[in-house]
Amino acid sequence: MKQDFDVLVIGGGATGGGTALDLALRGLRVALIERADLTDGTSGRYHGLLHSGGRYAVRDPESARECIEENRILRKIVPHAIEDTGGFFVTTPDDDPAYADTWLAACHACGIEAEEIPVSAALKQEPVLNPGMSRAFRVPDASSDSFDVLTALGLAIRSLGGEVLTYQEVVGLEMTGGAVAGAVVRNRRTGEQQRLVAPAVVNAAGAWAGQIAAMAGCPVIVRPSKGTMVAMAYRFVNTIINRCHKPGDGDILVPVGTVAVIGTTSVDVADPNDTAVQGWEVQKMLVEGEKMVPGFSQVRALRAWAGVRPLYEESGGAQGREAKRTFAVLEHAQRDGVEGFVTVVGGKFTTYRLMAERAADVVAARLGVTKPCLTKDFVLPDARLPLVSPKTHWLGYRLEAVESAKDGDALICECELVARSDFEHAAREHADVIAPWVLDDLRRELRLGMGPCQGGFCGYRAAGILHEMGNVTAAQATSALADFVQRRWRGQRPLLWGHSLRQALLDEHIYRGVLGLHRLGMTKDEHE
Amino acid sequence: MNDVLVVGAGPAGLLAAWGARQRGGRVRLVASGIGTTHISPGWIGVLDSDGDLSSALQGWIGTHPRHPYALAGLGALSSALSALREVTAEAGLEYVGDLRSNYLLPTALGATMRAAVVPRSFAAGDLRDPGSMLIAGPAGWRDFYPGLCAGNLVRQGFSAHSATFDLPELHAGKFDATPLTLARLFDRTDVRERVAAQLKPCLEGAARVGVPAVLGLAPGVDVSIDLSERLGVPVFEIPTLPPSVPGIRLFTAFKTALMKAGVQILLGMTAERGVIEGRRAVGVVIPGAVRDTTYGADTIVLATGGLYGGGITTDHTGAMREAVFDLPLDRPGGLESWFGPESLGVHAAHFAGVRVNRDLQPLDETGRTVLENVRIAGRLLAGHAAEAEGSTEGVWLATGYRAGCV
Amino acid sequence: MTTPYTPRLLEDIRRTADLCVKCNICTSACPVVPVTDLFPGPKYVGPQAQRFRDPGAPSPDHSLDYCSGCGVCTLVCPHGVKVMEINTAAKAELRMRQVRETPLDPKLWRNTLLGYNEVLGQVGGLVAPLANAVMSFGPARGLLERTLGIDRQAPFPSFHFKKFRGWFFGEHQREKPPTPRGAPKVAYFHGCATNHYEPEVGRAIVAVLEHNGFEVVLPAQNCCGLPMQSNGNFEGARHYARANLRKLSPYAGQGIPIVVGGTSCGLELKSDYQELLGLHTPEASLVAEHTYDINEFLRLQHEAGRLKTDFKPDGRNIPYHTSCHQKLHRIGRPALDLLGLVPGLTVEEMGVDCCGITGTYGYKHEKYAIAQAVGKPLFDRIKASGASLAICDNETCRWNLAASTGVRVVHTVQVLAEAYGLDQAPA
Repeated sequence: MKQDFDVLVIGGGATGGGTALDLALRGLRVALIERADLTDGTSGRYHGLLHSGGRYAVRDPESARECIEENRILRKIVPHAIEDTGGFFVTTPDDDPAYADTWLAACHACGIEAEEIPVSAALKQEPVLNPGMSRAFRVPDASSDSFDVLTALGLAIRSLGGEVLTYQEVVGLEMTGGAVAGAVVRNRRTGEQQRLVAPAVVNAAGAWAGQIAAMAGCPVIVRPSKGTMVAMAYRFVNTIINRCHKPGDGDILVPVGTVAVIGTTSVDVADPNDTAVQGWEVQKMLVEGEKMVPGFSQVRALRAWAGVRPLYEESGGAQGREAKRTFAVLEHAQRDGVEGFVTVVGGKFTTYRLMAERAADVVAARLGVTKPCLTKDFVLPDARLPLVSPKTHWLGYRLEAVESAKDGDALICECELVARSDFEHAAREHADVIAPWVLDDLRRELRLGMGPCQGGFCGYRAAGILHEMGNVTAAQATSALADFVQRRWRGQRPLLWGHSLRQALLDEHIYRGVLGLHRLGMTKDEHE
Repeated sequence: MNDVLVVGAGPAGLLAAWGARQRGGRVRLVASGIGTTHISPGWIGVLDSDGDLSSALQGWIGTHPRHPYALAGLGALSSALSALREVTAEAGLEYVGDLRSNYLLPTALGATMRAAVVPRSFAAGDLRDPGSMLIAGPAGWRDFYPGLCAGNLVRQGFSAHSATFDLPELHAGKFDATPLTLARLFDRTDVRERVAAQLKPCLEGAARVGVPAVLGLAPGVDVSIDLSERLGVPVFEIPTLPPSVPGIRLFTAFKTALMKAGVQILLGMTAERGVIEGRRAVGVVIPGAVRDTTYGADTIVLATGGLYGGGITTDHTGAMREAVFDLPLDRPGGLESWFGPESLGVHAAHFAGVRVNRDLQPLDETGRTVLENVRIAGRLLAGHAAEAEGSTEGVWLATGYRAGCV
Repeated sequence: MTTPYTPRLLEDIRRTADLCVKCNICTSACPVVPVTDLFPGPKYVGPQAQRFRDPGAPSPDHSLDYCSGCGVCTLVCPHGVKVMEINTAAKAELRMRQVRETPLDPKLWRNTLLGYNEVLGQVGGLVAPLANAVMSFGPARGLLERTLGIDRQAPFPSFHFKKFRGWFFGEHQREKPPTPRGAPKVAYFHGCATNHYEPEVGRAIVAVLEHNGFEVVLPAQNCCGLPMQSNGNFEGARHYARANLRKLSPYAGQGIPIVVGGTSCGLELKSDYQELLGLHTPEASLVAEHTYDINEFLRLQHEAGRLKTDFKPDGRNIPYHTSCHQKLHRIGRPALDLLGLVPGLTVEEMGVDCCGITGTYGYKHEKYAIAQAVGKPLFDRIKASGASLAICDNETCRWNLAASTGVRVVHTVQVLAEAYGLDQAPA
């Protein structure tokens, strides 16, 4: 099986999505290829911070400048996925008070609007902050939802004639006479392979960029640096809180929708697939959280996960936190003598659009396309459910929608207010609804199972509705349920104490004691 | 005359209060809130086994000498079952089955579960009987999926098909109906008539009909019998997502019987700590809106639950603590050892609890009795993994009743 | 006494939404859910919706309005969620939204008016005979229902021209026996209802306390603020609260216990000022620590061997209704313990959670039928008992039960006063 495109973009994260859109807007026929669901890589595992750049101002001013410029642009082009929470930088009793002046000067030098405010004003806005803090500053940080951004990018790409191919893993690059001419992909569920042919291939595989580049014989060293985040069940701050100190572990607290996310650690890992959360990392987050918000370790921790930062080093550079967070666009024709292949690597979510622009400029030039980049002004479509939703993001919009609805529409996920019609809509749109991971994909789309009960009640309902819709057998629906439950467990397991433990035991009681899910393995026929 | 204080209003606490009242003396029951009656499916699981249950039980206590069944004794289990039947019969609620064999029942997902004693309204669902089944539920109700249930039953070789029936009352308001809302609807004869009329043409020769466990709430009426008569075939209930109507029926039966017997049941009363003098528990301290009250008693039964119910509290440092008297706990080591990677596996944490002797008195690591007038019942007990064994209900029965009586 | 530092994060009662595991036990126990389609249940409007409420913005709720505030949900929650309190706090936010968006809504005016219980009593009392006539005149009640939405059948008590306070400082001071030397003092917080509508309850409480050797002092006081609080007017309630704390703290400062006859007022002083209205001041703590429900106080005297038990035998069988707020005191059933001291008296707790009225809820036209449906099992049980007298220690519950059963309803202390043989109107 073979398909022809103008450009293949490998990697369904923000960088890949942004690059595919940029090229599609320039009139090219693109295919975005992702081995799992969009955002499965780093884009879906970060802490939700749309940087003002303050974090990088002192040690990495280039990154800082990129951040503030892109921050302003993203607020215009994808407002529905951004909540304007604003941010604080605070000097806690554990921070060197002298650092603040250095930091403030650095922010101004980078063009970041950082303004000192009285500590009393900070406490008035966020009463739970450490009353012992000595200084506070306001910055234009914002909270962003990468699932919403990628959904919007996917929608836009398709509306421009492009294709978004998920659950297709690149198993090799086709080489013709020393040039990359396409990719061979394998369907993750069926194992079926197909060839995708294109004169240009963009490697936007993030932490896996090195592995993809190696398929074309191009050495690209990406250092995976794992970072763990913990979502606290209750959104007790409504402003992003940063510690005003040399960047370290657990010094950012971000309200993202209904939760508050604290991050992160920095652990070098050999394998970019290593997203296991270690106990000490979680404990570290709690200890650091206490410094910003006293009592932090006593409130409910909902879920822990890890993402892998793609730290790029051109040649044996600094590691971990010391590494620069800027990005690079590598034209392999010049660098390694391999035509038709470009890698865009490094960077962060906040700068995805700029990374995409630079990569798309290179590709367009190569293909003789003169249309300029349009993404600075192209407003992304708002594809959130419920389908009738306001332009900008605010915390209460789902509750408002549910409360003002005239008719009853069963709430499938009560924690996150996901209605049955939303679920059915998303299920109908799903490309491969019989896959065992379908409920996890729908979770990303809808926030199903992402609230305090972590899928305890909505799992059975979702599986039941999926089956009722008619395209999924009982066996497939049950496999999807088992897959969903296991994935939810993975993020709960590092946090099983207190009421999160009680919740997990209730969920176990429902699945084991009431539903008997553990007894429904595959029957003999199905194995064959 | 023995003055007994029971801490915990879950099934173990209710049985303990009943047992204590039978012995005479003043009995009071205090609890943080309602217990696991309201989330339990409703069957009485004693031990997951096929075939001869009584020899399985005998074998079990032989190989598990520290299991609650071994300590309380199988006689306690039988007596507790009798007590359960006595109390529920008063409320017109019948339980059937015995300790000789397990029923094999369908779940809302279409899996199978084993239970020794079940509400009569579940019994016709016994899958040891090959009769074909119609699995039916209200159309558009979020808490039960007849198609999925029947589909999974068929996969396992059982004979089943599914149907839905319309209940316009469910869609009258815009909010979702809970199982209780449905149960109250089924208390009405006009609703039952309409449902029966819709299901009859869907029978297609089915020998019996399974519906979600929402057949009525009013005490003294077995709605499933009425519905069976209207349909001409036996009807059985299948428990689904909480809140559990069969569990609520059980709670109501016990609450009524206990109040009638003069037992004060006080909810919203958390035993924050105990008062100890030497090897005796003098009482428990319950914080009020502004001041504490100490509830004293000759005997104190702790039926406060385990890690779920709050009988054992935990925190992020990996501390595990028996919540009232800080009794020694059998427990796994650090946090990382509590749970394994399999979501529905058997985990070390499941076995945590208070170790006891045959009189259910709490013991320390050396086997010495810590508090001579305290009895431990239910999930707070160490040495058993209730969900994995299928012994959840059997343990609360046997130990609850025994704790009240001993 | 120094209060240990509690981080602000852990102080907010709304944070207990964190503890919810979604079991829906609260929803199964809520007395409003079974009788109306308009209320989705306490879990839904409480810990579930709370996660979507932005403290910087008014609450995007409507269905919250049908929560009656009875608190059964809080009492049955096994995990410590203060469901009712979360709902009450959210109603304050909802009211702010209503004030902003629909300031002319008659229901908003009505809710505000019902919060001014004390003023109503003062004004109505001035022209008591006329006010009583109007309030029992059908067409007038019909007009009130159509304009302000106060249900024509809602049980309004009688206005009195002569207040309890007037009796205490006047006739009582003149006629009472001299106070024994060294008699311990007790400060009596009577509340609006006793002062304006039920002075006989106050008289019975004073009589029982004096019979047991106490000197009763009557502090200056005002409405506890609960009617405003339960209607979402937190600012108004705080105003009343601060005034009360100023008036009561001198007594608490001298170690004088403050006894409260109304169970709801008592709870307000004991915990709501701090937990719900957010008045975490040393004064609020001081007053709270000295506040006792009257039955709680008398039982404590009994446990210390200081209560006179010279009760006349009484062979009656009297139904007792435990009001929701009484349970929220978390003091057990002191009323039953006390009544158990009267020889021959059988008092049966009815075992129904809520009578339906829940303060001002049942007075509202759109909620009256719901309130009556909630209370029906209780009304039926009382009527079936054949008793001509019932006991309930909460004022609006008493009026509701009396109106709905036709039975006379009194406070526990009125029965005790009669059993002591104290010169009161017969219970």
